[in-house]
Amino acid sequence: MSGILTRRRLVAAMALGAAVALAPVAVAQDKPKIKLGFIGPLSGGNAPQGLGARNGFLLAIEQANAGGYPYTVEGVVYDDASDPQTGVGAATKLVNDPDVVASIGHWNSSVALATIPVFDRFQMPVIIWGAISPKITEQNLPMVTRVTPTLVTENKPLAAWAVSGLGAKKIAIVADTSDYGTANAAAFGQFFAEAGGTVVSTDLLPVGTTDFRAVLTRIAGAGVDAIYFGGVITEAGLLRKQEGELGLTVPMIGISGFYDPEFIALAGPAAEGTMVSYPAAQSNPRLDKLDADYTARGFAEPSSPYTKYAYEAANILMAVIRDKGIEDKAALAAAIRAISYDGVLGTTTFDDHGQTQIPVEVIIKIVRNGEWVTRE
Amino acid sequence: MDALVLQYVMNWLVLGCIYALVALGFSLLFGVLNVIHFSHGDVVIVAPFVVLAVLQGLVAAMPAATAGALALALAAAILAVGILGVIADWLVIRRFRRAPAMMALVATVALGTVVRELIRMFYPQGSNPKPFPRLIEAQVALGGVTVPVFSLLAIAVSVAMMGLLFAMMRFTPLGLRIRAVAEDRATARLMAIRPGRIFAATFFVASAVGAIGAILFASYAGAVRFDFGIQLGLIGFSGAVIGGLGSMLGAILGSLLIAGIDVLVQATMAEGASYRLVFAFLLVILVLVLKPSGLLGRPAIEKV
Amino acid sequence: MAAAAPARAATLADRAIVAAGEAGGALILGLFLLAEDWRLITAVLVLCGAGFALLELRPAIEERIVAAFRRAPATALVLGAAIVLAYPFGMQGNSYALHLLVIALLYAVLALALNFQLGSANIPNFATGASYGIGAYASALLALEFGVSFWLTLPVAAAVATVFGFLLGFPSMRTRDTYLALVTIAFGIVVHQLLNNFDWTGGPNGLVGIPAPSILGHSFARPIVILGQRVPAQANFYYLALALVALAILAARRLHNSRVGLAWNALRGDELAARCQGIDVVWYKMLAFAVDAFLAAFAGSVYAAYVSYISPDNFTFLVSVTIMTMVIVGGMDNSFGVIVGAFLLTLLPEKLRIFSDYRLLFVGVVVILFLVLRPQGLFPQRPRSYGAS
Repeated sequence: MSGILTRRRLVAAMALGAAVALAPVAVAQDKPKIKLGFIGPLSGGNAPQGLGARNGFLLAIEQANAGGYPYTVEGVVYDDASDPQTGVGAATKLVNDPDVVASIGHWNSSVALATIPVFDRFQMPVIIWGAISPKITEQNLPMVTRVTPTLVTENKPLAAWAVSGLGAKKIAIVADTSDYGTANAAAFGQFFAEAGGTVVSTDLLPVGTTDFRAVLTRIAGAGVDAIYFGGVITEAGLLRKQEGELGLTVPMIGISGFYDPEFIALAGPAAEGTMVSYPAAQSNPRLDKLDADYTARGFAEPSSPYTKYAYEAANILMAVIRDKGIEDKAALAAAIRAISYDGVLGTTTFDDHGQTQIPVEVIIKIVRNGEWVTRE
Repeated sequence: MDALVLQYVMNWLVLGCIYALVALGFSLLFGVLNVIHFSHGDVVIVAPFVVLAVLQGLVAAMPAATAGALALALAAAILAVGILGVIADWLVIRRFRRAPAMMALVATVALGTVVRELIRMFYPQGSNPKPFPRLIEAQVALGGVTVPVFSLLAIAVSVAMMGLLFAMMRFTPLGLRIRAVAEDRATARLMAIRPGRIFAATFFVASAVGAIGAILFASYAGAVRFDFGIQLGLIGFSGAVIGGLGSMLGAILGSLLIAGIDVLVQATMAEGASYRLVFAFLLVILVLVLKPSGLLGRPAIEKV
Repeated sequence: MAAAAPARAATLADRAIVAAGEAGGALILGLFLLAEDWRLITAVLVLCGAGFALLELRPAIEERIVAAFRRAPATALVLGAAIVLAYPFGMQGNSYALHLLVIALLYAVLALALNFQLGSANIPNFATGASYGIGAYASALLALEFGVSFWLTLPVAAAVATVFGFLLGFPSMRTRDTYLALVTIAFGIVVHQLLNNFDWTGGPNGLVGIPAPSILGHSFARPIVILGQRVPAQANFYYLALALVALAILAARRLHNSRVGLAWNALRGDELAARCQGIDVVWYKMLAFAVDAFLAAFAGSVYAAYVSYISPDNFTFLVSVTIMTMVIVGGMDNSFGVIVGAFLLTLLPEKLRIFSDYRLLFVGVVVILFLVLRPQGLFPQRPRSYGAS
């Protein structure tokens, strides 16, 4: 038994990233050692998002360790399996470890909402890298900040563009019943109506739905100008593919949640003409460098749209720790909120609730000849 | 509006037939072994992954023969999953033959997790969804609407498989033996039938038929992911149970019924889509309250 | 069998065995909770495995231990209570270990609740997770919307869940076995989907900011300080959950020895024979569902107040399967075994975090191994013993 465990353990350690295992060897021993925590879905259906983000987090730490950072940083990675109770367990484990200075966490809003009371009660700064529910920052817990824009920031300009730029009068909204899907559907529906359009139907499907034909057939019968999809990559790809098959040729639009090559791979030729909003500030040389570094690092998993957020969150933590030290957690949390950080996301600043204020000027990306290109 | 109705009907029939192929496996296994193989959905979803892997290998080896490669990949996947079913039985399920029913159920739920996680970890980039090709891309005009040939094919294949399964059970020596073992294990043994072999054969057949269902499912959806087997298995299981476990016709009927309410709710109710699982499983409860042994199940008559 | 042995006074050896057993168990649990090194964790697991292998090979040892506990109940009770009450103070202020204990105790309550059905009467129920959720939501909504005190929401939530338990028990009048299992699975899925879809349950985001209870001015969010010893705030909920487990054990004992327990066991043996004996089968089946829901709702209320946040994802079908696995792995109709099962299956996934991505795979494999290697459960049900005391 223990022989097997040893081998598995080795494989697991390798998969985790050689950085964790090799860092103490590669770096001079005189620097003080600290740990940073990461929580995200590393198993189950949301694992692609979590694994991509984890790699971004580990990459940031590796680069810091290699680049003369005053501490030797070790990344502590825990799985929340998209389950609030598992997430609370992970958060409790992090706050209980005196070496862990601060953490980043969560793709699922339900998990984030469950763990932030833990981080707050035990005074550990946490930056949310993926969960998008407005409720997370509405509570204004001093320890909590978020580098991801909420859905409002992208849906509003997209809805305005859909009416004026695309010329859509009637639209059908499709999303899933997760926090992400419902929040998207509600936000876009409101902004589209305010911009003067008509929402013909809103269909939310339970997570795990793979057949959208019944809903699409009804939408085809209603005669809409476009379909808005407010879910994630897999479902977006399936929906688009099945649309094509039913002869539904109206454009599909959405926010950057499924701006991903994976979407095109899934939808195949049907992906042509799909349009998503994309925060313009995100396209910058630092982001291109991150993409290149990510590829060069040779992670086992591809990057996800959340890689850059986790990467940025880790860098912001390390920047404030460099300035403020590791003892005063309240000062660290305050410093995070006061920061103006130039990074892969552009210049990140936080509002008085700890929500990122990155200005979102969206550009429209469209699929042409099997690739995402900027729409002129 | 007729064209729309036709499209709903096609959608319903394809889904119902796919679920039925999975439900048949549950029903067959229960009829013969009295066992609930809750990981059936997870085992059969391996089939589309085998298809993709074999296709990739073959296309790399000889880029010309695509049609032949597809046929070979399909055959390999069905065979492999049939064997996988036998292995699942041999490793885990067979150990619960004499145990209370719930133990086998709990053990196979755990087995399902293991199978899913193994796909996720050992298939290259197994966490991500894999695009799955349409087996046939063509479309035909039917009653004023264009219908994909694939939909017709899926229905035809399902009906043919059901027919074959019926014929096998009725007319072949293997079918006779399976029925004999299902009826009375001890007596069958006296008739020189080895129950162990019959169990293996049943697992092979049930898994292979389910594999066809899973391949059609992946092809119809357009992609496959390691966890797609959960809902496929759950709905197939429900179809088999409300149809009456052990009854093949019941499994088909139950699957059509669940697919029917699913499509109906989404087609007619404004917010129906978010309640599709609610309605499907309320239907399950309702059927079982009215017909406690399923629609076509043998009512449990006990002798004292 | 111990049942046949004449009642004897406890000897010194009996008391020593009881003391060694309880202290040893507490020590192993503590070691496992506080262990961080994967080698130590593996070693503890191997030690436990070896212990069970020994019991499997030499049943006489198990009989001796059981007999000792049976003959020295007062020693066992007093010593056990002392260990359990002092336990948080031995955790070296480790809030993570205490958190795991609280969750394990809550799952122990859930597993004991299901045990009334599955263990005593062999009625499958995959909806314990749903009852847990109904209790949690009822309690949280009362606290958030109407400002009701936690102590008052506790019985109300239990009553609400019990009504649903009876409702769920209704189809059980006619359906059985696998068919009944599917009815409960379907019920669990419907409840989960509705909690997720309704607006007044907070939808997929759930309910935020559920207040912590307080007693005599002491808020459960504050650490406990006794005689200068300070333990983290989780200890409050440890004692609360502990009281709940004690209540569940007491109820299990009383029911087991009552007409209800006998009727359930008769149902387990042979439903038809039970009916012929004049046992009201339908009533006792529905009662089993109600008792399960009642206790599960208590656990739900405590969980909601403890974590201060609940969402539909806390109460999925998977939670129900986990609870059922706890009962089966621990040993049906054996309260102690069920509690051990709950602790094992709560702590194991947490401790397997060291295996990162491989965690779920290991949990699955370990569960299958348990079921295959010790199918009767870690602590099998024991025949009823009369006249031993």
